[in-house]
Amino acid sequence: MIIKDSYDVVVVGAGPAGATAANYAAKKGVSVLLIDRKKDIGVPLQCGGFLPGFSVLEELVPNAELPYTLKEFPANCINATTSYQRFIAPDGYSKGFEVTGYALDRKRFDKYLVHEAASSDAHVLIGTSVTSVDGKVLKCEGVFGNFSVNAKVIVGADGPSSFIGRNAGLVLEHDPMDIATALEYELMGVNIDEPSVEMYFGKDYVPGGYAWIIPQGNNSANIGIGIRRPMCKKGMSYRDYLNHFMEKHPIASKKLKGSTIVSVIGGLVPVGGAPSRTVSGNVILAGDAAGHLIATNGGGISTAMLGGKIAGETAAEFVQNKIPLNEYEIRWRQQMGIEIKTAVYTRKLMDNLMKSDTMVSAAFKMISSEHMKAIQCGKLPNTVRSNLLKLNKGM
Amino acid sequence: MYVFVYGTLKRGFINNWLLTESYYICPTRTNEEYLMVNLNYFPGVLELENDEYIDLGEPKSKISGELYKVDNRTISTLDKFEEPFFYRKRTYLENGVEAWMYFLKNEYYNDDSNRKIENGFWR
Repeated sequence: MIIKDSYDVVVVGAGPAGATAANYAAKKGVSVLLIDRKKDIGVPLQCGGFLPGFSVLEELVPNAELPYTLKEFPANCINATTSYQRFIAPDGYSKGFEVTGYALDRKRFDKYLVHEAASSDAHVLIGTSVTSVDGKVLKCEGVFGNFSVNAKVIVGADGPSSFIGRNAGLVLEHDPMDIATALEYELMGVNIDEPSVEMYFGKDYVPGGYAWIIPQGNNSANIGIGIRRPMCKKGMSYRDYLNHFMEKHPIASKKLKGSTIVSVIGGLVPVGGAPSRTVSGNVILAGDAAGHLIATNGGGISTAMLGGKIAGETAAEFVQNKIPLNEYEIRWRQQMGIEIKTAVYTRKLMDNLMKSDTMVSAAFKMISSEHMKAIQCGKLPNTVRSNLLKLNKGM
Repeated sequence: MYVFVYGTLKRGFINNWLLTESYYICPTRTNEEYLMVNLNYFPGVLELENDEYIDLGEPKSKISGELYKVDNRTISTLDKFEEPFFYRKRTYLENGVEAWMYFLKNEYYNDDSNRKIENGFWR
């Protein structure tokens, strides 16, 4: 493929946000280049790959127009379908609700999204890093050589430590409590027979976060922990915590006993919400780079894709002189800003309680299944809010 | 109507403002012994009777607190404040008064990680 000297829109990062941005920008008829430093789209994985069903997503962001790629994707992108979500409190008490979800094969799914972008006439360049950005000029180097490219708009969809964002002065919060670290294993030979996603809590296993088990079908599963460094014990590494969960957790270890680790995955999860601005000059951010995720569960595939769609459309309309680029800020906040903010607030109410297993267990007993589902959808019902405040302040 | 408080509703603690329209009488203790636990930012007192899953070997003690005279409005405010974690029940105090007291529901008690307050006095 011949890379042009100049594009209307250059998207940096070909994850769900970037690929969707490139797709929607290209659909509007502007020229688009999608760059990713990875040599193989979707590899290495940095995510558990859990995607709630489309109807749940409509509940999650009722004001949004979701990208079609969240609804129509090839069946072979799905490893397994789950029908229940269960929460296991530190004292073993559990509660849950019925909900459809997909354990995605992210390598296939991400490639599908990139292919969709290419089908809309976006140019795709993998194995290429952006080494510097100066106004409209991006310097790139990688497996296809070193070159410069001009962009009218740059979409930074390059993850939680976004280079594009930092370069443009758009940074996420630096509070260490606002960054969770996820470490995951792909396991084969697990002992799981029900199609349930499970979330385990308890400070000895997952300080300031939770552990999950996502069944992947054929006796395989993705397990992982998302925890926060300031709440970890000294001398305990992330791997120690995940191993401890896998081998020692009274409930989970029974299901995971005798399984084999076939893959290790790691990543950062920015749970502090969006930066104060996601537009600066000709740069806009989407996905993890823009804090587009639900902080209570760290889920971000759908919100990243929504952010990407809005970024792509807005970038194209800006290029076509229809709107100012700042419109992006307004649009994405209208469609999912409140849910992202609410989830950060809920997360902060839980942070304090997470220092004590008793308090987390109490909170779980107090919250009804329906309300748990609502919290997963970026809502915070009033009764839950006032009861969490009580647990935080004391009665 | 009297209410006996032993935690954050006491004078000098964060939730005492809920009792501003009440009449403070005196510090006192319960006649009965109960289990008091520390829940980080507040204590809870549990009735151990009529409960099959709590070991009766727990350290019980008389609970120290403060006695207030309250009106109906205050007691219903307190009820709302303590729900859904606590329930209200009458108990006798050392000074001879029978007062309402809030007990932690057993379901919120977790033997593994609660710190017990063995002398029944939280501050």
